[in-house]
Amino acid sequence: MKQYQQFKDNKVHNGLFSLMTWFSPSYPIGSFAYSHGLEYAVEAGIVTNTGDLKNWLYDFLHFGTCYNDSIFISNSYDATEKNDLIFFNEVAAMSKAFKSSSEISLESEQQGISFYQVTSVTLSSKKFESLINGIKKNISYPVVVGCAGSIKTIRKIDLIDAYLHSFISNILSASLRIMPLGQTEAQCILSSLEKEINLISINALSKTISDLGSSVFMGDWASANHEGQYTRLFRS
Amino acid sequence: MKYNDTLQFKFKNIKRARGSLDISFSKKGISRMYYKNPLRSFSNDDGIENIPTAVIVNTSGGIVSGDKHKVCINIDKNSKALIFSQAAEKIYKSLNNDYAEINNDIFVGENSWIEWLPQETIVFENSRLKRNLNIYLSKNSESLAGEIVVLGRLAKGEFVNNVYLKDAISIYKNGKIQWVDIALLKEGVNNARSSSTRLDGANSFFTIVLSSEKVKKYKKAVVDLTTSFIKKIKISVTLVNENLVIKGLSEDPLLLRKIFSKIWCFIRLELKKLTPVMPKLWWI
Repeated sequence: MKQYQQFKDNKVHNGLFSLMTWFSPSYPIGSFAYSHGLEYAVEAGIVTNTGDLKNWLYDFLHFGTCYNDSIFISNSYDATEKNDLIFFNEVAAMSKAFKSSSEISLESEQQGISFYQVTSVTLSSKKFESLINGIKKNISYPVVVGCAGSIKTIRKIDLIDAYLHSFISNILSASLRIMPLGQTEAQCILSSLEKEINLISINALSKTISDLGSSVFMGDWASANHEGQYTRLFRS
Repeated sequence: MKYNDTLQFKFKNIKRARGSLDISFSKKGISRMYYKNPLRSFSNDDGIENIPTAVIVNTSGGIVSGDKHKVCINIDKNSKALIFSQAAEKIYKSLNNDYAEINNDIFVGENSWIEWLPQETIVFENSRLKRNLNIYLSKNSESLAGEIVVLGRLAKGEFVNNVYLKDAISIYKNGKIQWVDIALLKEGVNNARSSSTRLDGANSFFTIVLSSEKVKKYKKAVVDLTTSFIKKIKISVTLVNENLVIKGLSEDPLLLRKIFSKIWCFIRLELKKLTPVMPKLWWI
């Protein structure tokens, strides 16, 4: 029993269980419905093979949504830890406003709301509920994740790592359905991005709102044009 | 000492520009104008306009690292205004690794309309620029804002690689942030240019953002218009929180500029029944 208690007190152990739960495809937040613009990029012939897809993900990691989301998670985590309501609201408002297209906005908002609805029940934390209720109109996925991770005292770097891993895995899962790509190839891409994901997570720890910025111009273009795509499987 | 170090030493304490500009518009036109060199402003009368207009001039001809420019525009309630720049803004090479900073703040009163129409910003190799455009809207006020960025002096064969560009546009409504766009290009622009996720060969890009409570009903018309340009440039239209965002990317800045102006004219006619022309200085 004593040994079990020691295990339970270990933050990393606790974190692992929550991270595996939150970022599992079975966590009901509806990630499967989003391709983050990839569906249009495939349709337009911009992403046609494994190389293109890897490049696409690499750029989103370093210069696009993943880079910015990692900053939002990190800052939301800090604000929650310090109980700084003003800062938390500022991060939430920025995260909600910094969206390149209506579908990217929907993707982040809907997943954030779903993540909150499930996690508020499983976490049963008053702090979590009052913080998220305070940003009702500005809910976005990374901010809710940062807040939940902080309350669960998960190491910040692991939280961001897991988030980015699930983000990339989700796009890869979408890619299997919209382009000629094998399961093994998809896993090879994921595995080759491990170092990049770690790097983004480490860098995010010291970054603030003033470091935000994006240069995935064509990624944004694809996402905006996805709105008018004639036949489509995904919501983004 | 290397040549570059000598230059940096020599220019370490050189005086930098602190331009500022403060313009207020009322229902009748420009009600107040204050400027500090090298920024200047003039009222502009094309003879055909039904909107009070001010043109911004940077008399120094360009911006270098260490320069800080600040523009503040106030529009009263029930008024309208058009602000544009007299020429393309040139961002010169940075000698001391410092940033050039431009801060533009626009406050729009109730039931008012503002057009923020600068010409291109040309970033030279080794330049470093941080620019913020903040538009503060009130109840029932509307804005049309644009920025065009050209990466290098293309006619000279300069395709920039080492630049720092952070270009942010933020739209606030009743004090709350509604939409932000932050274009961030740091070093290695060649990589960005060759990546199909990023610039995909483009050397210039524009953003137009139309913010209005009634923006939804104009989306279809703007999409229909932009459809005619899809073979010429990469163009997209989307709607985020009452902001219609139109973005374009092209290898050819002149073509991009022409399409930018067509969209601009279309919106001002559709939305405000204003003459669908660009200011004369825009074409000189």
